[in-house]
Amino acid sequence: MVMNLKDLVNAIESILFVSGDVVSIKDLCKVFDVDETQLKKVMDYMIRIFNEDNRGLSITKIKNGYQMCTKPKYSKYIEAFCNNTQKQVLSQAALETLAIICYKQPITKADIEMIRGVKSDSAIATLLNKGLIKETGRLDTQGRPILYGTTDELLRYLGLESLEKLPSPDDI
Amino acid sequence: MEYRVKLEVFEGPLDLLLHLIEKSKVDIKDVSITEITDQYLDYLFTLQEFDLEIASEFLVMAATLIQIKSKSLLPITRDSSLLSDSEELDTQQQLIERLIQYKKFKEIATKLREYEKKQAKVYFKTKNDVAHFVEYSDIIPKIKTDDLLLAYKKVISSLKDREIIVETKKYLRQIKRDAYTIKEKKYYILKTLKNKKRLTFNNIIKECSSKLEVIISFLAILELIKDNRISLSQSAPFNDILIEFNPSFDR
Repeated sequence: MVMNLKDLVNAIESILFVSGDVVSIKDLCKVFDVDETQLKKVMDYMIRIFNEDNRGLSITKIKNGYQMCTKPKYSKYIEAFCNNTQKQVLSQAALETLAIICYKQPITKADIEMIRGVKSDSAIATLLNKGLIKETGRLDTQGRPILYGTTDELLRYLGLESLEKLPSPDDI
Repeated sequence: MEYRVKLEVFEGPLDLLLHLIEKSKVDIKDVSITEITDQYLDYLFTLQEFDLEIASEFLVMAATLIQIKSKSLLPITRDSSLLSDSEELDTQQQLIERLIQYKKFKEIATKLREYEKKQAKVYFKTKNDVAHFVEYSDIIPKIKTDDLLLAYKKVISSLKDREIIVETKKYLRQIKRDAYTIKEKKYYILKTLKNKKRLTFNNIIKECSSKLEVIISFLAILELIKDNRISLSQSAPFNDILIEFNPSFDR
């Protein structure tokens, strides 16, 4: 499929709109028959022009894919449109638990509780419910306890391209 | 007039300890456990005064603190000094290390909160199910059950000589109707008893045509005894067992 850059950008924009979900770079490569490195450059260009141009949407990179989202600047209008409902934030307990899982995954509930010094069942349940963490397996010891790790949904939730973008523990 | 006291809420004993240490403005590593213990206990007493439930984790920590403190107050005797001294240091050192680690994660949590708040202003479209863009009639033309069966047979026969067929066969067991059921046997025995009034175990067994039927008959008899419907008697060991209606059975 030979097309000029403008058409390619517009076509990708349409696909991102229709999908709604994260669209992987591999899927885009298949559609346009363009190799990955080149398409990545196009995507970088798209992200830039979406940010520079005066428009309501932006494109965000999540792992090896891209997704369309709104710009933070216009959130209050969206909230007004949605009957002034704001997104719920996590409890302090859930957030602490999440922080531990981010850096120590895969980790068992017992180890999380050892670090926090308190029971963490409900915090873990909340995070599982929201799809921010998942069971990644079981530890091969007595009782075969469940191991927890983070999901791609977490990246979207925190607006991170990848977990490597988290601050290193020594930087804090 | 209402009197209100606002107590700070802590995420756990470590959170409370960190708060106390920060209040005393000393570095975690230089903290005096003795001093902190008193403040920690004071907080628990305050909670008690207000009849608030104290989570068990807070009590465990209190015990640990008191243990460290009391050990530091005891005179060190020469013979036991080596052991208890290092033990005490261990408990104290472990606690301090846990506090440092917990503090780090608390700080990370604060950072995550920033990300969360920033990202809360960003909205995503929910995932679109593109399946409804496709006409179903294209995928599924008019198909009858027979067509499905035929297609299935084709698939299975094309899989011959392959491992998959072995895999598939595992799930393709025939389900046979039970030749004899305990329920039927029970009914049969009761009916026969009604006609003949008495029956022997051998009578029943002789009529059976297979080992399975013998087993089912035997189980049926056991169930009838359990239900109090029949009674058994035997004149001598290894004699034939007599089966009769249970006279005390109340319908």
